Amino acid sequence: VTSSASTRSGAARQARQQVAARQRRRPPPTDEASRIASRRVEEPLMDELKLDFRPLFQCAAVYSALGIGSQFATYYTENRRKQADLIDPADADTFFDKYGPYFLTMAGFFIIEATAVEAISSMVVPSHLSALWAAAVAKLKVVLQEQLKLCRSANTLRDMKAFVVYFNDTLRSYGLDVAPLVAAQHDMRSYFVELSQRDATDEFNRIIVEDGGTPVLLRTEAEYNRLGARHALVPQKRPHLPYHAAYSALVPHVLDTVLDCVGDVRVFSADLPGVATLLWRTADQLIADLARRITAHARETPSLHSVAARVQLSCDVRHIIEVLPVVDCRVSRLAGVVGSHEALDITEEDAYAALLAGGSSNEGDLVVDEDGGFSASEAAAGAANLNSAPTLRRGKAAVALFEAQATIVGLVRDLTLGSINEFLDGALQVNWAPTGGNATDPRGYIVDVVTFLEGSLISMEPLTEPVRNSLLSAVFTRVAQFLGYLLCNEAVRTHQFDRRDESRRRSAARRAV
Amino acid sequence: VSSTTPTEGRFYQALRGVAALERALDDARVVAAPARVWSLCAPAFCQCFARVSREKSMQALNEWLEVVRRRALEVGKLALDRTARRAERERQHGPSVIDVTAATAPSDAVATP
Repeated sequence: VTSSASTRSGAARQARQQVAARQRRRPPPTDEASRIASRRVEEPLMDELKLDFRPLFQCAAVYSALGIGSQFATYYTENRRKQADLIDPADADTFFDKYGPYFLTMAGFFIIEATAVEAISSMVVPSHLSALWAAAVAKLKVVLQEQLKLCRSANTLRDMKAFVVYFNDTLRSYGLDVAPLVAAQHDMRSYFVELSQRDATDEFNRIIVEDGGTPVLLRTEAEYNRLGARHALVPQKRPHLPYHAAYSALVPHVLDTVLDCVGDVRVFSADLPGVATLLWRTADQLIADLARRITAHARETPSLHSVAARVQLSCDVRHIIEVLPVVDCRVSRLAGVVGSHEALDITEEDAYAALLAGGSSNEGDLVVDEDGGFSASEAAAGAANLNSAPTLRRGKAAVALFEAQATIVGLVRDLTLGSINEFLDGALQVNWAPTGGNATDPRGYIVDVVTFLEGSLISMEPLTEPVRNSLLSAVFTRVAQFLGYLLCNEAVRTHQFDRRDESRRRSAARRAV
Repeated sequence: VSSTTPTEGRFYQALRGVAALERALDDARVVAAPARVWSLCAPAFCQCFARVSREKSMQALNEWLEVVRRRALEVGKLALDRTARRAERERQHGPSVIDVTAATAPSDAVATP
């Protein structure tokens, strides 16, 4: 009995020595170590829980003293393995009701196991804990993957990610390898980006329908400063208030949405690598998607069958193109690359100053080709070739915005020329050689045409000068050609139309023009 | 562990029996018999005591295993709560710098067998 007691006390001493030796072997303090240390400064977890490990240690000591430590190890490890296998998710609907307790139980199990194995490490095989943990991680990964597929809300995913981060941090501090679960965090982040982009896209649709079309009116200095500070959308020298901006509320709202979404992705990506690239890509995709939605809206929405509405939309797109450098700088700042080797070639202040000085580049302007069409590709290529251009202007965003602008201006031209054609078709109904006062006499018709052209001129005012000139040139050329045709055409002059053959004559008139 | 294992019961019963035998032999004035009884019984008692210790510690271990199984959720909850609180503190005040060597020493009450 004395010998057994002596051996037992020797085992206890040996365990204490092992713990002390492990402490001596610990690496110098690192950030991670400091973080772990801050955990231990609190009252030890097991002390707070009043969870007594003495029965385990006593049993280990007794079996060890009797020379049958392997029996103890086998019994203990087998029991713990079975217990680990028995941990199952509860029957519930939501992640936190069902898997919250599951993850917490897993965490508790492995915290206890890590603590126990640390003290009886001489008796259990080293692979015991790692094998248990590997099996658990495999199950946890499957659960996370399944839950990701079921998750439909960015907010829920944000909560899930925070929970998994705490889970990982906790178990990492007990020496367990959480790398596979960190990989799951990457999957969660990818899915979060997807969900956030989907939410942003829904928001774009709402903004385009609700906020587009009405130019912004800044009434107070506070409004002026807020808009200027956020998106550089106001003149540098403050004009008299109220200030009528050329763009609609769509512009600041979509830029807010883009930056908010990128900011959310930034917050979600905390502690994960590759943030800068992800933020650029997210912003680029969002703006490209925005451009496509604006184009679709301009094409498909019946309420936009007016020149003014489409011109406003084109103007909005141009303003988004112009503030891309500022958005670039905001994304850089979120990505934390400003000031590093990945920094932008220009600072936000530089971009802002260049923009407010009138713009040294022609971004936002479309190239008018020889046929009077509008080319986005050349303008986009021009922007892409700028060596100092920030990433967004080299990516899909710039190209998509230029294409959107070209499409919308093309629609404006089609609509304007279509209206002119209708007027000119109506000209065939006019008696150009009246013998008395008549409602459809040439004077009334010409007044209508002039009124229409005045309206078109005013509507096109917000367009840039080359685009506006090109459009007006096309319209006036069309009118001039038709008037010339009227003057030269004998049948028109004598008002001898054959109404039964009217459609054929209209076609002939168009061909002649 | 409050309960007594069967082996433990028999062990103490045997111990009491041998003590009674010793007293009887002593009362009967049988010369040197008590010492002889103990020398004959000692190896068996040692073996039996070892078995009692093993059974009692195993019984305690089984109860401990059941306790930790039941309390795993509680342990996990408190550990993650602590991590969350610490993360919140670090967000507000920055990470704390602590002497790792001193701070990582486990609680004696827990870690010492």
